[in-house]
Amino acid sequence: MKSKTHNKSPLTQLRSVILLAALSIAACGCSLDPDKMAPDAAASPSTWTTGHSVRVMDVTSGFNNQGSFFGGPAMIDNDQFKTALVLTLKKSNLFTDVSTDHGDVDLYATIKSQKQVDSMGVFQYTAEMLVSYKFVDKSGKEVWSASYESEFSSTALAGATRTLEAREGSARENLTSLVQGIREKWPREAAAP
Amino acid sequence: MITAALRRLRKFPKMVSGAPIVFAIGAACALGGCAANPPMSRQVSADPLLERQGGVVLLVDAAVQIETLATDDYFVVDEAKAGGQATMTALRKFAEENNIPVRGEIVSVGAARLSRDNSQVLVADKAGAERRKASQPLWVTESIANDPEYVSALRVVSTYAFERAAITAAKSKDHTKSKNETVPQSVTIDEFHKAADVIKGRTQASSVLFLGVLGKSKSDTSEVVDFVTRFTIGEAVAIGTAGLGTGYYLVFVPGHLTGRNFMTLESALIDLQSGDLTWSNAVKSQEDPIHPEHMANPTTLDLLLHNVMFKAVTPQPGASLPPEPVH
Repeated sequence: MKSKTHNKSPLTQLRSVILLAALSIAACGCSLDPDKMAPDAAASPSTWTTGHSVRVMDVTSGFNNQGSFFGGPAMIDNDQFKTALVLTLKKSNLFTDVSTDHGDVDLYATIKSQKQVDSMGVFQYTAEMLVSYKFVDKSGKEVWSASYESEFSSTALAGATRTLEAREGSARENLTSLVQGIREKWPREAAAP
Repeated sequence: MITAALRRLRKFPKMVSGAPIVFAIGAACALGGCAANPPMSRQVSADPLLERQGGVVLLVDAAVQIETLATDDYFVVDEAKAGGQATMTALRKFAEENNIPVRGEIVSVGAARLSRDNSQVLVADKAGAERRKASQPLWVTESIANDPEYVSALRVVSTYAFERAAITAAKSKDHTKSKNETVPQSVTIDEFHKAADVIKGRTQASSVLFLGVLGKSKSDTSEVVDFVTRFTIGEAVAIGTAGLGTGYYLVFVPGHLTGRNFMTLESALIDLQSGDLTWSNAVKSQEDPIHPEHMANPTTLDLLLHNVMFKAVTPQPGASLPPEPVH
């Protein structure tokens, strides 16, 4: 047994090392994390609120949002984005309450597309995400809506990490813009008393 | 197990020299740049013209030509119609998702001029069926088929839009071409304005979103023999069979691949109030246009229509939130 080990060629040993490295990358818990999609910047509590409570509806996929497929790059699914959306709105303090089952206004979000953008460099992955948001009151009237296109690049050495960081980052940028948009453009007359 | 692996890791530098790897990584970083692009986020919205109260007429014109080896290439109606209708379904969904009011939908087959002299083209009802000479358009939505003025206007608008979209796309890629270069004008601006007036009168819409598909599909026989043909006859065959019956598509959509399946998809936005063509774009695809799902491929259509459906409203810096407004 011992002699067998000693007889291994350098090439075989190299193969073992590569396998070990691959396994360690695969075992790094590589999955998209909604916590990392919620922007930290939104944590700074807002003193101004819309005065409304919001019900976050199920996130839907738009015309060109294709989900992950085996062997392909990781894509953010609707549930992951909904979790991140709820977390972001709670952190922002822009609404009196954020829930998935009740609220004065309903928020509909649609992931229109997720893409990889051509970028310079071998070790760079740039993810792009386009999301539409629409707030509707109880009478069905649109209160506020906007669509944001965001990009985020990662240069992590491990390919899987690079993709995940870029995807999470693109969602984070998008949600940051949402919070920013609500703060700047939410109709003042629609603010609840 | 872990200890053994660590022991092997310690031996790693002895197994392979680390210098080339470090050099390779360094070179990659130097060439490609290790610094990531800065984050970007911006608000996007459909072109204001599409959001006008009057609404938009969606117009899809598809032409699919079958390339054969033994006989003349010919256009097919059924396959192009199925592709056009699938593309219309996708286009409607695109518009609905963006809250764009749609006032009308027209699908046609071979409405845009396919020959310079406007002569009849060789056509079959479907691939492999009996061929005949036919005038354009080869088929049009039933609701307008008995309105010759409308059909004629449709032909003019489709031809004008197709030509201009192709020219714009080609010029944006080929910087050697002069901006003032003479372009083929199958349709004059006056003819276009008159046609736009007819469509406006019939629909009361504010704009037309045109989507034209011009595709070439190889018959099975042609695909098999292609390998031999390229080596024996080469470029002469490629040029001779590439024109789809006309010269300007070949000239003004440079780089399209001959000898394979391909599609050129072009889109244009026409302001019916001013009669101007305000936006256009073109993309090429190597998918087989004979399959409707290929013609209506969401990724291709997104690429084609992205800049008109999702125009930047206000650029916003990423990551950091601005100070709160004073209320």
